[in-house]
Amino acid sequence: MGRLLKYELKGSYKVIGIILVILIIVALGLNFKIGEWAETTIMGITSFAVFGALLSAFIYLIELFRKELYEDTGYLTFTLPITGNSIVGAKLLSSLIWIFVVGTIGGLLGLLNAKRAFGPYVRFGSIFANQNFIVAISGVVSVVTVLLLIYFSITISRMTIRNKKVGGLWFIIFILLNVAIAYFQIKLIEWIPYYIDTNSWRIVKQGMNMVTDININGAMLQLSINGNVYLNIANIIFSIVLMVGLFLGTGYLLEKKIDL
Amino acid sequence: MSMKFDDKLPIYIQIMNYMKKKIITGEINGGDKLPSVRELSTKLRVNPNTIQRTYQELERENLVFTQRGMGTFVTEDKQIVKNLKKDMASDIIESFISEMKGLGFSYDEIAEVVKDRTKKEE
Amino acid sequence: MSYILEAKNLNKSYFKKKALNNLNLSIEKGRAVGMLGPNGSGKTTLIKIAAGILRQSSGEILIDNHEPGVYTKSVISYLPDRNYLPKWMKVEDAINYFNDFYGDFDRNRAYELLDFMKLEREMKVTSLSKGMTEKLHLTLVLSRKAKLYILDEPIAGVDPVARDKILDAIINNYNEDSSMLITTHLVRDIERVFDDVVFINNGEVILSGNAEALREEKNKSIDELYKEVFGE
Repeated sequence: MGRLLKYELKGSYKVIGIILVILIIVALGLNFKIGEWAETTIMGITSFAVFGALLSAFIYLIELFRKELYEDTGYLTFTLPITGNSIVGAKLLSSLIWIFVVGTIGGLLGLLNAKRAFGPYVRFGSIFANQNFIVAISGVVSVVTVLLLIYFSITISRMTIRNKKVGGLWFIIFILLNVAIAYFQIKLIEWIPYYIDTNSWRIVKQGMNMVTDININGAMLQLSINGNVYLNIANIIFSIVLMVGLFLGTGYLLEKKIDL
Repeated sequence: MSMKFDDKLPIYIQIMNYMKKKIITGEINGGDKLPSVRELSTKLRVNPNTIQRTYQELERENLVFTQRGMGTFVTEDKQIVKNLKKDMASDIIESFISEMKGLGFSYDEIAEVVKDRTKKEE
Repeated sequence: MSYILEAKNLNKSYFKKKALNNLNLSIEKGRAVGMLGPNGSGKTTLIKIAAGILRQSSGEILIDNHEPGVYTKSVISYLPDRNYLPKWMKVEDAINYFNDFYGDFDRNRAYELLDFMKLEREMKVTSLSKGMTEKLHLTLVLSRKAKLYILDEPIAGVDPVARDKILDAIINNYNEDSSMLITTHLVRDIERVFDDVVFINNGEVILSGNAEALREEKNKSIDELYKEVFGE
């Protein structure tokens, strides 16, 4: 898988590089305008640029996966003596690396502009505060799950319809799966209302009556009661099972079921 | 080395004939080493197995012999080469005569025609 | 008798079409086999199934006594009729790629073949003509010491000079430990390379046998035989 990862990165770094260069130019350009334009404008456009860069990168990376299944390079990749899981792993890992790179640079640029724009009003909370930690992990799990879900949908759609003009099918499958998963997650917390209290790190049973905030953060479900975050145990397990299942499922399909 | 192939005939037979001609005319001498199977297959753009078969058949006719590890060599037996020349000639003569007879020539007329023709070449 | 490839009662159906119809085929070690037939006859379908990128509807196919999978991909060197190299690659990248993934890849042989084909390492894959692309693909495929080489239409759409180079390379590659399965509909130029030929149409084997034996028996070249079998 490491070998394939190397070539995945080699094949995609140029476009990612362009996205980053554009982002940096825009962000730095805005930085120079901090005296002239309103702070909100600066931050607004900066956020927009960061978001745009992330979105472009994301779409590009998904397209790379789709192209592998629908265009001629599949003849090269799928005749390599490697398992389907290696292929999924390499694609996933390279995408995560780029998303992390773009996200980090975007984040830093955003903070740079924010610091200069708002000066003393910006304070950085500790990254290791409980809640932020949970948010970070949830974020990673979300991104991984979404990517795997998209890969899975693309693979399924490739197996069903031979005509590649029906290009949007994977998106429909993706939406349907998302809905099914969300529905299942809600049902799950009804059936198994056991939570981890993130302050005390103890297992607690919780009803829904005192809930102030429900957050379906990607693949994990959090409840907030008066600012105290509770994580549903069944959902945590389900998220992990889902990730692994999508990974292995896609790997299996790519290795054993793909018809080019 | 160039050869025009007429793929109607098995290729190994065509190559055999080609080599036989060369041996008869002395272009390849007794004792000469023939090209290796690989070399010849590359030159003629032909499957090596075909060359292999060619050499085997030539060996069966005692025109060549193979020494393990050294290669395939033309026989030094001059009598064999002479006989080959005679055999190949007689094939040609046979078909010539039968075609001429097909045109209505008698044996005497055929001899006559041949004599005249060859005299001109002297 | 050990066969490098064995297909038994192989069927492949699509919605509208039956691409392979109870096809049977066996290839022995050390043989160069030509699979001859018009476009759409099933040649490419069979090849893709052997290469592991297509699944049969029913029937069995074994390569070196294994079902298509990771192992068979490691012993088959496949030349598809496609531009399958990523567009960002240069010739050198492609060589490195094959070297990284295939244990049986011989880098030196690759460089020799590149020289022979007059290809430069720095050339971008996208800048190559059809003939040069084919020559590059062939270089990559033949630089592996595989048990079975599968070449899908190696000389189609290629100019005569390149074609000769390609044929030379194919013949040079011949060795008694590996087999070659070559599909083509351009029979005349390549028939001398084959030990055996298989005529295929509508997903079935119409005729098969040793090339020289067929020439002797039918008193025709394989090309003429092809025209007779597939002609109107």
